[in-house]
Amino acid sequence: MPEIQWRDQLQPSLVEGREARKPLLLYFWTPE
Amino acid sequence: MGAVTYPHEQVAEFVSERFVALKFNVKEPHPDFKEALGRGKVLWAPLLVFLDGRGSELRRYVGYLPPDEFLAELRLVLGLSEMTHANFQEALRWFDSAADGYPESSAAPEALFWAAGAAYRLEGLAGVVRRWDDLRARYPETTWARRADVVPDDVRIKIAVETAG
Repeated sequence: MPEIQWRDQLQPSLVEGREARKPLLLYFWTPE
Repeated sequence: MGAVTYPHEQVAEFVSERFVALKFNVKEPHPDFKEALGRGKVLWAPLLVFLDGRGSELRRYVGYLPPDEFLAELRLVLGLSEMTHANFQEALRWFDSAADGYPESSAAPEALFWAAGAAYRLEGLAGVVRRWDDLRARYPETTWARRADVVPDDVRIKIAVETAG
Protein backbone atom coordinates (compact mmCIF):
# COMPACT_ATOMS: atom_id res chain seq x y z
CA MET A 1 0.00 0.00 0.00
CA PRO A 2 1.64 3.31 -1.04
CA GLU A 3 1.85 6.09 1.49
CA ILE A 4 2.58 9.78 0.98
CA GLN A 5 5.89 10.83 2.49
CA TRP A 6 5.17 14.20 4.12
CA ARG A 7 7.95 16.73 4.63
CA ASP A 8 7.86 19.79 6.90
CA GLN A 9 10.92 21.76 5.75
CA LEU A 10 10.37 24.18 2.91
CA GLN A 11 13.84 24.92 1.53
CA PRO A 12 14.99 21.28 1.09
CA SER A 13 11.59 20.56 -0.51
CA LEU A 14 12.02 23.43 -2.96
CA VAL A 15 15.44 22.07 -3.94
CA GLU A 16 13.94 18.59 -4.35
CA GLY A 17 11.09 20.02 -6.43
CA ARG A 18 13.49 21.95 -8.69
CA GLU A 19 15.79 18.99 -9.20
CA ALA A 20 12.99 16.50 -9.84
CA ARG A 21 10.87 19.03 -11.76
CA LYS A 22 7.97 18.40 -9.39
CA PRO A 23 5.58 21.00 -7.98
CA LEU A 24 5.16 21.24 -4.19
CA LEU A 25 1.88 20.34 -2.53
CA LEU A 26 1.54 22.16 0.80
CA TYR A 27 -1.23 20.84 3.02
CA PHE A 28 -2.34 23.05 5.91
CA TRP A 29 -4.59 21.17 8.30
CA THR A 30 -6.12 21.32 11.76
CA PRO A 31 -6.57 18.33 14.10
CA GLU A 32 -10.30 18.91 14.64
CA MET B 1 -8.43 14.72 3.54
CA GLY B 2 -6.24 12.81 6.00
CA ALA B 3 -8.84 10.13 6.67
CA VAL B 4 -10.11 9.44 3.15
CA THR B 5 -8.29 11.19 0.33
CA TYR B 6 -4.60 10.91 1.16
CA PRO B 7 -4.74 7.17 2.08
CA HIS B 8 -6.57 6.43 -1.21
CA GLU B 9 -4.25 4.17 -3.23
CA GLN B 10 -4.37 6.12 -6.50
CA VAL B 11 -3.96 9.44 -4.68
CA ALA B 12 -0.99 8.24 -2.65
CA GLU B 13 0.68 6.85 -5.75
CA PHE B 14 0.06 9.94 -7.87
CA VAL B 15 1.18 12.41 -5.19
CA SER B 16 4.31 10.37 -4.44
CA GLU B 17 5.21 10.14 -8.12
CA ARG B 18 4.47 13.70 -9.24
CA PHE B 19 4.70 16.05 -6.22
CA VAL B 20 6.85 16.95 -3.24
CA ALA B 21 4.37 16.92 -0.35
CA LEU B 22 4.56 19.00 2.83
CA LYS B 23 2.17 19.02 5.77
CA PHE B 24 1.70 21.78 8.37
CA ASN B 25 -0.51 21.64 11.45
CA VAL B 26 -2.12 25.08 11.66
CA LYS B 27 -2.55 24.75 15.45
CA GLU B 28 1.11 23.90 16.09
CA PRO B 29 3.00 25.67 13.32
CA HIS B 30 6.43 24.42 12.29
CA PRO B 31 9.14 27.16 11.97
CA ASP B 32 8.75 26.98 8.14
CA PHE B 33 4.98 27.51 8.36
CA LYS B 34 4.92 31.25 7.61
CA GLU B 35 7.39 31.07 4.76
CA ALA B 36 5.49 28.15 3.26
CA LEU B 37 2.19 29.96 3.52
CA GLY B 38 3.49 33.06 1.76
CA ARG B 39 1.60 36.32 2.13
CA GLY B 40 -1.82 34.76 2.71
CA LYS B 41 -3.48 33.48 5.88
CA VAL B 42 -5.20 30.25 6.75
CA LEU B 43 -8.82 31.42 6.98
CA TRP B 44 -10.09 27.87 6.74
CA ALA B 45 -8.56 24.40 6.70
CA PRO B 46 -7.83 22.25 4.89
CA LEU B 47 -5.93 24.67 2.71
CA LEU B 48 -3.82 23.44 -0.19
CA VAL B 49 -1.10 25.63 -1.69
CA PHE B 50 0.79 24.48 -4.76
CA LEU B 51 4.23 25.97 -5.50
CA ASP B 52 6.69 25.48 -8.30
CA GLY B 53 10.32 24.64 -7.51
CA ARG B 54 11.18 28.35 -7.33
CA GLY B 55 8.57 28.91 -4.63
CA SER B 56 6.10 30.74 -6.88
CA GLU B 57 2.49 29.95 -6.15
CA LEU B 58 0.68 27.97 -8.84
CA ARG B 59 -2.67 27.59 -7.13
CA ARG B 60 -4.53 27.68 -3.80
CA TYR B 61 -7.53 25.57 -2.86
CA VAL B 62 -9.66 25.74 0.29
CA GLY B 63 -11.83 22.87 1.53
CA TYR B 64 -12.14 19.12 1.35
CA LEU B 65 -11.63 17.20 -1.92
CA PRO B 66 -12.71 13.57 -2.28
CA PRO B 67 -10.24 11.31 -4.13
CA ASP B 68 -11.55 11.74 -7.69
CA GLU B 69 -11.87 15.52 -7.31
CA PHE B 70 -8.38 15.65 -5.88
CA LEU B 71 -6.89 13.56 -8.69
CA ALA B 72 -8.47 15.93 -11.22
CA GLU B 73 -7.17 18.94 -9.27
CA LEU B 74 -3.64 17.50 -9.24
CA ARG B 75 -3.70 17.09 -13.04
CA LEU B 76 -4.86 20.67 -13.41
CA VAL B 77 -1.96 21.84 -11.22
CA LEU B 78 0.52 19.81 -13.32
CA GLY B 79 -0.85 21.52 -16.43
CA LEU B 80 -0.36 24.95 -14.84
CA SER B 81 3.13 23.94 -13.76
CA GLU B 82 4.05 22.90 -17.32
CA MET B 83 2.71 26.23 -18.61
CA THR B 84 5.10 28.10 -16.30
CA HIS B 85 7.93 26.11 -17.91
CA ALA B 86 6.54 26.93 -21.40
CA ASN B 87 5.92 23.22 -22.03
CA PHE B 88 2.58 23.85 -23.69
CA GLN B 89 2.17 20.42 -25.28
CA GLU B 90 2.73 18.77 -21.90
CA ALA B 91 0.36 21.29 -20.29
CA LEU B 92 -2.34 20.38 -22.81
CA ARG B 93 -1.86 16.71 -22.01
CA TRP B 94 -2.49 17.31 -18.30
CA PHE B 95 -5.46 19.61 -18.86
CA ASP B 96 -7.05 17.07 -21.21
CA SER B 97 -6.28 14.33 -18.73
CA ALA B 98 -8.15 16.25 -15.98
CA ALA B 99 -11.14 17.04 -18.21
CA ASP B 100 -11.45 13.69 -19.97
CA GLY B 101 -10.44 11.47 -17.06
CA TYR B 102 -12.67 13.23 -14.51
CA PRO B 103 -15.46 14.90 -16.50
CA GLU B 104 -17.75 15.18 -13.46
CA SER B 105 -15.13 16.98 -11.35
CA SER B 106 -15.21 20.70 -10.65
CA ALA B 107 -11.68 20.91 -12.08
CA ALA B 108 -12.82 19.66 -15.52
CA PRO B 109 -14.30 22.91 -16.89
CA GLU B 110 -11.41 24.91 -15.50
CA ALA B 111 -8.97 22.50 -17.15
CA LEU B 112 -10.68 23.13 -20.49
CA PHE B 113 -10.43 26.86 -19.90
CA TRP B 114 -6.68 26.61 -19.31
CA ALA B 115 -6.25 24.18 -22.20
CA ALA B 116 -7.24 27.08 -24.43
CA GLY B 117 -4.40 29.09 -22.90
CA ALA B 118 -1.89 26.39 -23.79
CA ALA B 119 -3.48 25.91 -27.21
CA TYR B 120 -3.04 29.62 -27.92
CA ARG B 121 0.72 29.22 -27.67
CA LEU B 122 0.65 26.20 -30.01
CA GLU B 123 -2.11 26.98 -32.49
CA GLY B 124 -2.96 30.66 -32.10
CA LEU B 125 -6.46 32.06 -31.73
CA ALA B 126 -8.08 29.20 -33.66
CA GLY B 127 -7.00 26.82 -30.88
CA VAL B 128 -8.49 29.08 -28.23
CA VAL B 129 -11.83 29.40 -30.00
CA ARG B 130 -12.11 25.66 -30.65
CA ARG B 131 -11.38 24.75 -27.04
CA TRP B 132 -13.55 27.47 -25.52
CA ASP B 133 -16.43 26.42 -27.78
CA ASP B 134 -15.94 22.89 -26.48
CA LEU B 135 -15.92 24.17 -22.88
CA ARG B 136 -19.12 26.19 -23.38
CA ALA B 137 -20.86 23.21 -25.02
CA ARG B 138 -19.86 20.72 -22.32
CA TYR B 139 -20.22 22.92 -19.23
CA PRO B 140 -22.55 25.80 -20.21
CA GLU B 141 -23.66 26.65 -16.65
CA THR B 142 -20.19 27.05 -15.13
CA THR B 143 -18.28 30.19 -14.32
CA TRP B 144 -15.54 28.94 -16.69
CA ALA B 145 -17.96 28.90 -19.62
CA ARG B 146 -18.95 32.49 -18.79
CA ARG B 147 -15.30 33.54 -18.63
CA ALA B 148 -14.78 31.96 -22.07
CA ASP B 149 -17.76 33.70 -23.63
CA VAL B 150 -15.71 36.56 -25.10
CA VAL B 151 -14.84 35.70 -28.68
CA PRO B 152 -16.25 38.40 -30.98
CA ASP B 153 -17.85 37.49 -34.31
CA ASP B 154 -15.19 39.27 -36.37
CA VAL B 155 -12.52 37.06 -34.81
CA ARG B 156 -14.55 33.95 -35.63
CA ILE B 157 -14.97 35.14 -39.24
CA LYS B 158 -11.25 35.86 -39.54
CA ILE B 159 -10.37 32.38 -38.25
CA ALA B 160 -12.92 30.75 -40.56
CA VAL B 161 -11.43 32.59 -43.58
CA GLU B 162 -7.87 31.65 -42.58
CA THR B 163 -8.88 28.02 -42.01
CA ALA B 164 -10.66 27.85 -45.37
CA GLY B 165 -7.70 29.46 -47.13
